[in-house]
Amino acid sequence: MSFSIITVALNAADALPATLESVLQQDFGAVETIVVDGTSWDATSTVLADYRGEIDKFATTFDAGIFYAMNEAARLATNEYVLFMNAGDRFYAADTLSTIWDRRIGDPDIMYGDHLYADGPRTTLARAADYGLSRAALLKGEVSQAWLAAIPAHQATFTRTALLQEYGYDTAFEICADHAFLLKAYDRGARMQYIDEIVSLYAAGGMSIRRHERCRLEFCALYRAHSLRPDRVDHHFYGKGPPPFPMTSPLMGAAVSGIFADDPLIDGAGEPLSWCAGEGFRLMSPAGGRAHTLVLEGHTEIEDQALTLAADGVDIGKAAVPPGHFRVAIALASPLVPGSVVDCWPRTGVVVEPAAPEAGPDGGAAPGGVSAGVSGSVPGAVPGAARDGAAGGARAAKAGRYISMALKRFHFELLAETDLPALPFGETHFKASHPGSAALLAHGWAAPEGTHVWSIVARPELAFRAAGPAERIILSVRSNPFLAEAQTLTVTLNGHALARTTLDPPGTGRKVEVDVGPAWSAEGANWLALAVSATAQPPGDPRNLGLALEKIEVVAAAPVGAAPDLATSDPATSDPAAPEAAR
Amino acid sequence: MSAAPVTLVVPERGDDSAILLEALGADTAIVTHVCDPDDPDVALLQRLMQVPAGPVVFWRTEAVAARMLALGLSGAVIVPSATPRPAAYWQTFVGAGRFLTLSRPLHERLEASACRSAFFDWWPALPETAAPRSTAPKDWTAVFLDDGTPGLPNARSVAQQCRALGIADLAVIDAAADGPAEVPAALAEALFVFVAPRAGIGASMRRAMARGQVVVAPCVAPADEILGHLSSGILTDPARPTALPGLDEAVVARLAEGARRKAAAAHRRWRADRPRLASIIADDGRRWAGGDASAHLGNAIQQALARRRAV
Repeated sequence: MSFSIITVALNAADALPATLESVLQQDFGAVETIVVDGTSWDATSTVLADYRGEIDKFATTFDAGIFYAMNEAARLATNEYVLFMNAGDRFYAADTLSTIWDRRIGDPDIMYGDHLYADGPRTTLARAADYGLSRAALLKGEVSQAWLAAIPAHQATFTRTALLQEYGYDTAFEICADHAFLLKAYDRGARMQYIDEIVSLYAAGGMSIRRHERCRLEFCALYRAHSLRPDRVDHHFYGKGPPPFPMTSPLMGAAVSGIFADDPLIDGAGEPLSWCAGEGFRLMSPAGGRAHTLVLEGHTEIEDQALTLAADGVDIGKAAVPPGHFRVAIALASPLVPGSVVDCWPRTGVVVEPAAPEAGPDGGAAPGGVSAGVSGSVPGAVPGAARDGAAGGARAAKAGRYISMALKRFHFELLAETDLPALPFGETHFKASHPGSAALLAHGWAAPEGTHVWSIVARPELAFRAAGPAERIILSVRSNPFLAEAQTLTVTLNGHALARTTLDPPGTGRKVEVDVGPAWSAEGANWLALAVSATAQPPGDPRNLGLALEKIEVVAAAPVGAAPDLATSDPATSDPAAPEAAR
Repeated sequence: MSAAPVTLVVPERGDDSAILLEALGADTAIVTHVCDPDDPDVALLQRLMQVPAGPVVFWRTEAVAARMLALGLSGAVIVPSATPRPAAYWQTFVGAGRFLTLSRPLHERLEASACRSAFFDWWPALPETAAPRSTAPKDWTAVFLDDGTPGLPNARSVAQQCRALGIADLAVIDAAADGPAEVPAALAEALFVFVAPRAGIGASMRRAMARGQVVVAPCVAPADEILGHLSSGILTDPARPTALPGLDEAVVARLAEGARRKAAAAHRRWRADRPRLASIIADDGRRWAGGDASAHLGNAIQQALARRRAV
């Protein structure tokens, strides 16, 4: 364990000495001190001359911005973790580094703590928060001052040097490149540890204070790009005023065609909804990961509306779209790779007809000319619905346009590929009273019920970290009673087909015992797919159900050298090439 | 430390001044007066008027000090109680006393009100022998330290939280049982300790963390000053007590270890910070470059810079 403490400075001759002394006073042995000067023209060089022999590495770079200098400095670092303690800031105590080292648990890529914001003699504690929670809140657009204050400061963040050197700070951001780095690192699977210790005193008057408008722009641009609710992020930073950004974020996916933004329907809350083509529209899944669900929110007046989703011409999901305001989450049959094109085919559409001119006070046409209505050759379609159906909608679709619904927002939900929950040895029940078990359900599952959880696609998956080497798993499952024929269950672990068995007769429960063999990852991620040959929709239930999973029992592998349990060992079932061997 | 004895004025109820006695050491002479802060004896006020040169510490008895203002209070050390008071109240002590706070938020409020304050963070020593605890879910046990105060959390709400977390074994014990002297077996052996944070410094929480237990408490003072959520314990939303994080063996083991390591580091820092507390009570003329434990490094930096200039 070792630290590289980096100080970047520009014309900081007054503030630099205290910062350097706070590094030199640390009681931790393995510290590399690095200073990078952005070509100062004050007495910085004289100050640094006083510390010759005590600073391990020194460099001068162009004044191309603080994050450029920090990237340059990071290249000089050779110790395990880097922390930037810039001129004017200082460590909290002489034992800060040794305390952080002592509190490190496991092998985190990034450790971060709290800091004191120092405004002259006054200090205010800024506590960080668990980054996973902060990230989850951002996805939902739950941004506030308190949320922002809990983002770790770079003066309190220890980053694995190799990670920093690989990703670097994005110098397109002049103020919040450190925040952008954390998001990028976390989203790509960096292990983060929050350590509730005060790391540093952060001197007031930084760039983010002096450049308020640029600061607001950058923070809003960064956070909305990492949120499924950019509108909420915009609202935090810009209130009701219009932000200078488009309405979507890259995380949501993109509209490719068939969605018309030129004549939005304005709902009662003043939010715009875009009309969708009656013959269908096309979306693209986002670049951030594999998409498993498409969530659409909008409005339609068409009774009996439904959407079928297809990728490469193959149906991957289907859902009814209720009239009025709707929010539907359509589970995809299997996760989509980033950038997949998804065709959304509505069951029906209607052509907007010119509406009859509304009478003005003098009996003539209303100002603004002709508005539009909808005529319905489709049962249930209500003339005029596209004009005023959405709780006081203020704009109409263009006459002659063939429409199916109005979309307020959409997003693809992505698989969590990192920070997976642990599946312990022994039994794990999947029921509502065990909320922790829901975290194991990666995709294709409904919400857990009283005794079980239903799969809602043909190939649902669970994702988890193992507690250690395992010998076998025992699944307690129940087949769908609304199928005429027996289902076949295929169990696949990390791409290895381990077992195939028939769940007969429909509606009955049974145990499926599967030897996991080498397919089991004792330390890494495990993806367990429980694919069924058929799904069916129960009467009165909009869901297409596969099987009900009640529990999984994980049997630990016998310690190395232990005698094999001949009573349960069955070489045939552990052979990935023999999927028929399930018991 | 001044040779003159320290005069200590403590409240009848809620006296946690043992912290001060621990910090000053057995060699310091202390004369203690116990009183009702809202209705102190006239005789006590008269005695305080005649106190000799030694420091006078109003421990959680700022109301008594406030009465002394009209009588010419000076050089007092005030350790504020948790009673909410406006900034103007504290400002009346400017020139008459200085503050020693055991809560960082209060310390920050005092500094914002231009009052001189020094913050201290007391932590108990780790027990010499720690009971080994399994963190496997089947072994999860919990206690609720019930102080009998109405409101949440209570025994029923904690039982509900335990069900949500998958903790099958919950014992409810009197919070008063968690003293520094002896710890009931049920408390010592539990993996989770549910606490109702009330006024004070949260000594029960700190002791539990020192024992390597996972403290679960609502995110209100003083719990939110003591615990780091998912770093050294669990803070719950006071309005949604069953909105709890998903736990597994690895997470619980990490939290228990995080709590123990935090307590160990914080106790080391508290021990190192005691000379500052003695200095401030004695008003010995030393300058401290900061209002909290960071003052030690602040002083060291200043001294190092002075040495460098001298060379």
